[in-house]
Amino acid sequence: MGMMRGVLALSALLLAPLATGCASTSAAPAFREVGREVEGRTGKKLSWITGSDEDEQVRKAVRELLSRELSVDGAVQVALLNNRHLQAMYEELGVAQADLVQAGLLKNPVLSGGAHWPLDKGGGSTFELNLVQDFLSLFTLGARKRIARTQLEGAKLRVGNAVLQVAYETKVAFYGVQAAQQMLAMRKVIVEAAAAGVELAQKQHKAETINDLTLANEQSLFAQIQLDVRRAEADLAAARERLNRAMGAWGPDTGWRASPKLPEVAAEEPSFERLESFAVEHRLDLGAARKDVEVVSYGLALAKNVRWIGGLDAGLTIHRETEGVRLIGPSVSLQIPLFDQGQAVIARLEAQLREAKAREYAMAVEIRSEVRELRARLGAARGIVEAYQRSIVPLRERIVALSQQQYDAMLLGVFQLLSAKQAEISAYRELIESVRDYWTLRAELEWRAGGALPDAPKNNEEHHHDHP
Amino acid sequence: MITRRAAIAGAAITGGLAALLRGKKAGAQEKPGGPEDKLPYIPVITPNGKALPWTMKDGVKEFRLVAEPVKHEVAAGMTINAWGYNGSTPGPTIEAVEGDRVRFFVKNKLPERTSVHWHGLFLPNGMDGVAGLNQPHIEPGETYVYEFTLRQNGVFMYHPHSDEMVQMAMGMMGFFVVHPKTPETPRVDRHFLILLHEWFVAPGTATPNAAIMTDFNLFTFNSRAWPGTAPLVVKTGERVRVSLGNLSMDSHPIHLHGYRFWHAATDGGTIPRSARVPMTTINVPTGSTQTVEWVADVPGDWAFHCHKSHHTMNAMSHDVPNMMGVKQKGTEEKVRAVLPGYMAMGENGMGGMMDMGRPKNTLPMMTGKGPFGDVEMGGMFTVLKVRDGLTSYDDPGWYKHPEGTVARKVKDG
Repeated sequence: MGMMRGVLALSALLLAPLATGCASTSAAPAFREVGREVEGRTGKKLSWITGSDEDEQVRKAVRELLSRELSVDGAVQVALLNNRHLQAMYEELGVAQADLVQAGLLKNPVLSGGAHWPLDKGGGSTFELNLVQDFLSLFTLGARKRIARTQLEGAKLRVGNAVLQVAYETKVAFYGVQAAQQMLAMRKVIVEAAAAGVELAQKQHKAETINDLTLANEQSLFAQIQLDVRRAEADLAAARERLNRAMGAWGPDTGWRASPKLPEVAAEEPSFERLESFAVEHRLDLGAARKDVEVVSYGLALAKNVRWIGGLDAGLTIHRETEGVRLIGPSVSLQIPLFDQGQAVIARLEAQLREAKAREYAMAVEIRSEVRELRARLGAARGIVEAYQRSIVPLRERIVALSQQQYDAMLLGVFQLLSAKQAEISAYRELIESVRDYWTLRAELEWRAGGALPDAPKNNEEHHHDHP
Repeated sequence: MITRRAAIAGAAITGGLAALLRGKKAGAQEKPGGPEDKLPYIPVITPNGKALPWTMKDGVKEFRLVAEPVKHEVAAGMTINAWGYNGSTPGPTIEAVEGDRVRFFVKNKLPERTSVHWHGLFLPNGMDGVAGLNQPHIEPGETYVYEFTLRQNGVFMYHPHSDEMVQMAMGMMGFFVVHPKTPETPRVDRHFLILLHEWFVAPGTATPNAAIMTDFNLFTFNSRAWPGTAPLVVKTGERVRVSLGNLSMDSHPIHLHGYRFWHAATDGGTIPRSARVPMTTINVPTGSTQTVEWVADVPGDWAFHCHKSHHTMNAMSHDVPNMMGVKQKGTEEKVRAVLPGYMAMGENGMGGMMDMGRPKNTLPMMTGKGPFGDVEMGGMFTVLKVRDGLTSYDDPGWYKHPEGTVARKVKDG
């Protein structure tokens, strides 16, 4: 009877993990977590196109966004819903989720058996049936699940990071479109002014006040200035395609129209005081690197725990003797760690742990440097915008007014007046470029700081820890 | 005449300070000064200018000249940062009589050294004023004295001979008149002195550019440009002289309307009557004075100007595109699309276009109003006003033409 109880207990031991190992293979919860994290930083929703009814709603939302005058927020939302690289990336969650399920499964028991028939007369036949389970996988089940869970956490962070990167690239592409639109408009005004100039030159030539050489010079200059419109048109086409790629748009979806003007430079920058620490706290790729460290350290702990165990198989054997006597009894096989005591595996994992830690450290140092660089460049970009707004553009406008005054007093010719106007428009163009550079840098700073900048100015000073 | 003599005596007592305090009446000139109640000559008139007062000391006429920067009004609306003497450009006119012993104290209040050369005068070599050659430079803050006896008569000039290109370009020059010991006959009633000069003052600026050699944009009579030039006021029948001095970079053919005049003298001396030539335009070469004379017996407002037509223009540019006859219609609208304030100009000449706008401290290129409309002049232009029965030489206003003596519009002839 005692033996029977033991068998039942063993059976229960064998079946229990099987039941718990049936955790869901669906990555949907993991994706929802990523979505919440990203929405907290960007205010934008994510969608995983999986062939469900929801897909059509997403499709409608994308169309709706693209049919309106597109804003930077709209463009980012479209990209997060529709960028196919992101859809590919989401499958990493599926892979990691499956790995987690896999880690919860025990190795299947092995059923083996054999029969023996006598070759000599008078002998009886025997048979044997063995059910053997690898018990080490049972002992390490918890540890392996912990590793897989951590890997899933890492995958979520990597996916979130990829989403934030697409958001950043979309913003940059969008500002590029707005700038290119404005640039083209400016180029057209410059050509308009130049066209009026060359027309005057032609009329002068007709009235015989300039000669063939002077006319040819004017015409040649105009012919070249006209090309600037062609170049600006090509620039705009390229900028639109960059945004199309970010938004995953093709076919009729590419007919969108972006709001015409770049936004004004922000009245003030968010607090940069704790920006380095903020970035180190918020960067998802750094979080993923931390998870890498955890994974390796859990692996190392596991390897150390099982180093003396090697392999342990336990089983149940049913045996029938020739005499017809049936026997039943447990079997055990144990590896004797005589040669391989796991020292190589442990050394390898120790090296990998040091490597993962060093990588995480290096990444944190780089993140701090990146945000410092971007903060400096953003400050310079803002200064350049302000210089254009406060002095360069007003001066150019004043030069046009003063040139007009001199023209009115016949101290200046119409051509000089027109070229003063062209220089003024060039200054506007440079202003637009500088505003575009500002927003591009700001988007990059946001991204490098973890997808969002700190809100209100704080009085906390930047803290430097031993660890970056 | 009595009234004027009394005024002369008054001015002589109070000297230059009073002259400054009194201020300048438009078109009038300061009276010359001396301690004598009666002058043995009729004083000259420097339109828009003034005379240099003097005092007698031990039989020597003493004059004081201060070389200094001056704020000078060229015409209403334009004041320049010039250099001159005793607060003005040209400097005050020096008047003396042949045989006088004269002494000049020259104080240098300029930021650089200077000297005074007495152009055309016979004097000891050491008094000739060429710095470095005849004397040391007068450094800033220093005072030099020149003394010599006047051994000739005529209209002469004074100007620096130390960095003279810059200092003359900045306006440093003046007349030096030596009256004959025995007054000439027939008597000259009105003797006007006009110093011709040209400047470059970039539109919208106020400081002359001394580096300019040919492309001047401001042409002046006694450092004034039309319409800032005082009229030459004469009573009908008076004998008039005009002495023209030229220290500019060009010669100036000065023309009088309605008369012919006689070339009477140069800074080399009086031309004998038998050798005098009738003319309507007297060319005044650089570095000379030319004196013409006539009897002003026809009343009216007679133009008197340099006949180089660019010299009767104010600030203008010489490298504007030639729009004469260029039909700008159609294109004008296209320019206006980018420059809303644009207006096509020059298609049919430049007349009637000058009031649209201009840089500050800049005179219109052609300007001035007359009784019949725009005079469209500038620079070296003024008016000889000859009138019957004048009781004052103040500006008598525009001439009232007798009925039927003005050109008039008629129906297609």
